[in-house]
Amino acid sequence: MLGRNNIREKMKNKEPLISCMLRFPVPATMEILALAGVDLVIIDNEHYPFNPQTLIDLVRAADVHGMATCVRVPNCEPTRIAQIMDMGVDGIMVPSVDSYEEAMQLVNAVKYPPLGTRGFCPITRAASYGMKMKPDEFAAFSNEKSFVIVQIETKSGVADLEKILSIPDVDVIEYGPSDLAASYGMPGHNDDPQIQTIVNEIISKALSAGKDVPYMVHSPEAAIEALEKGFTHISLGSDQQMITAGIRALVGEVKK
Amino acid sequence: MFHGKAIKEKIKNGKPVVQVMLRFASPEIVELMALNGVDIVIIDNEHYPFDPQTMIAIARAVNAVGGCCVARLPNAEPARIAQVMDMGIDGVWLPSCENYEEARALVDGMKFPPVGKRGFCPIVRSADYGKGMTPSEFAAKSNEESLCFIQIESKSGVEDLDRILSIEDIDSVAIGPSDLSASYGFPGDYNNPIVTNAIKYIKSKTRAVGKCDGGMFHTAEAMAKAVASGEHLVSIGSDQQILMNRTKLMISTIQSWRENHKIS
Repeated sequence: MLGRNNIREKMKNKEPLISCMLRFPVPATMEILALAGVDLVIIDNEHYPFNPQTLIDLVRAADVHGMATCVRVPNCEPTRIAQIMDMGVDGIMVPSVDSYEEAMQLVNAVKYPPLGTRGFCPITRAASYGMKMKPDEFAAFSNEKSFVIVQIETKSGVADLEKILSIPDVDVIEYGPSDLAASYGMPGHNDDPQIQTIVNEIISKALSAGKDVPYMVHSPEAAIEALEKGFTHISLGSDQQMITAGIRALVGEVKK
Repeated sequence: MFHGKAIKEKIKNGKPVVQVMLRFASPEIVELMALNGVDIVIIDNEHYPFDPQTMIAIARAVNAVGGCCVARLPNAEPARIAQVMDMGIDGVWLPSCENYEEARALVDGMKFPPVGKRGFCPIVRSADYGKGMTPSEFAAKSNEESLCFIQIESKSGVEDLDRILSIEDIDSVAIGPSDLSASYGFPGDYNNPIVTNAIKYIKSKTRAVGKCDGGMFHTAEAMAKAVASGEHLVSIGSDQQILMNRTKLMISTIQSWRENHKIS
């Protein structure tokens, strides 16, 4: 439920956070992630299909256990973002943001005037159907509590990084090593020193601009490494990756 | 489209067969399981809800990547068993089998005459919609290949075990330790000698008649031990437990690091 966990404030204050992506439209897995202690689930509607009604069921499942939610949408198309915000999610994530203008388009879609241009309906689920706040209070509350995640995954995004970081309502910066490597003409070479340098630059610039930077890990060892490096926001990958890791460990024991 | 014979042969040849319970109605999770080496997905429709259309979508998903599935149903109600079998699901798992009559009802529900009493429609998905098999071929093949799994979870099931095991078409006998302990009056006391002896009794009787005792394991260590002791049909828990255990492992690692470094 929008704002209930003050997740945006925690991002700003670099408080410890654990997030995870959700790729399968199963409300029960949402509940399990919440009960296991995940703070924020990002529903991946860039690469995976979700019916709109299933999205709202997933958000509701997270709300039952007090966990924050965010949806990764494929682009900055404003009506889709508004529909998802109206469901009561805490934030929106957009992949491959290539310029300052695109990042502004995203902020405009998430925030009500005067910060943005989002269409205003004060009786949606996000607004508790109009039962808890007056319309003007809800608009201010939503603008204050909602967060925006921008993914930098291309050469042009890197070139415009400083302008993107200057936008106060961009809260979180993520990077995409695979797309970055491809954009620099080296698909599959995520570990190339040039790509590593670019990734490190994105991380350090974003952190010094006061943005939250999640660090994705796929094993307990990698989690410790990330914590030792000083990352406060750890991403566990996704339901898909965790189920796969769990199955592999068990099946591997039987079929050596 | 049948997979049961291949499974039965694998077990007979001492090759491990891995099964896992599916508790979330997600064809995607089923694909992940089969792609990672799970041989049989058990759709747990005893304790968890599945829409009939979702069940057939799950069967399709597992078949598409070369795996197979069995449905755990709450009882041996014949019409329901027939519908599940018609979907192209490779077998039925009956929990809490109390006696010979119930085990027989499962076989009757799953198998066509002369073995059982299942209603016969030779153009269902299980029959590849009537393409490539004559009706009589379909009936014979389905009877031969379908997997008939029961679970003994009560005192009365243990007492009638010999008669239950005399039914040739039962392929596997799994144990339900929780219900079993409750049935003997010691709910949750898995180490009580009466409970452990009942489990030993079921396992040894089942193996003696050449059937599988399908054990359930949640850790790699427990599973390695079972495989080493000659169990061929092993169950690795469920999607739910696998996700919960993995998430807990990751989060407890992070939390204990934070506690040690005084960050909370």
